[in-house]
Amino acid sequence: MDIATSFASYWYFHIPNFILAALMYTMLGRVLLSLMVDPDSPNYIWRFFCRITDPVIAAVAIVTPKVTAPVVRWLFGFVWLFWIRVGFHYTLLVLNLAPRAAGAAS
Amino acid sequence: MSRNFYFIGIAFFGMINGIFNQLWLIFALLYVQPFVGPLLFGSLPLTLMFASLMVSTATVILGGIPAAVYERVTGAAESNDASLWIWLAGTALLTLPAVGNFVKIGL
Repeated sequence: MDIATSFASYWYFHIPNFILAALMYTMLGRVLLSLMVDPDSPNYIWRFFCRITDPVIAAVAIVTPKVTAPVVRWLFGFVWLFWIRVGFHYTLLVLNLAPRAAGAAS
Repeated sequence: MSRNFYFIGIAFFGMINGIFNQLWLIFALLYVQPFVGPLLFGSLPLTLMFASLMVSTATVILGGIPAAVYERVTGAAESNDASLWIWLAGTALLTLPAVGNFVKIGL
């Protein structure tokens, strides 16, 4: 199955998976960028990363003890997003609704 | 007790589960390759280590959920000894399936 056919057949998997992947990598980017910029930096890339990932971090903060440092919370967000992607694909796989070809999950 | 001891214990249990929990490690490994493969340059050792790290961190995160709920229910402004004990116990419970392999193989 080529990419176009796979996307047309499994759009309900590929679109949410792409959004979750983008959030996951943006979260990692925020962690790496935090090594170089101040938390209140006006840098537009930093502000964009913060704006995109803040809703996820707010959700993660609800289920994370308050003692956790912000950067650890961001890394927890990265791991949460990874396991959400795994859970999403596995659920669709069990329901026979996800692509099975090798590498199609990426 | 110093908070550092709680953190060391939580990290220890997470590490044990990440290394010795065969079921979750293999499950994570299957998904790390397609989901994060490009980030790891397709390297198998890096993929194995990353899968282990995902399981370890998931153990710590899941163990922390009851502690976070406890903090919200009691309205605590900060984490206290009780919530850190809950976090430690939660990670310890999640690590139980890996204890057999840990005792048999060791670090």
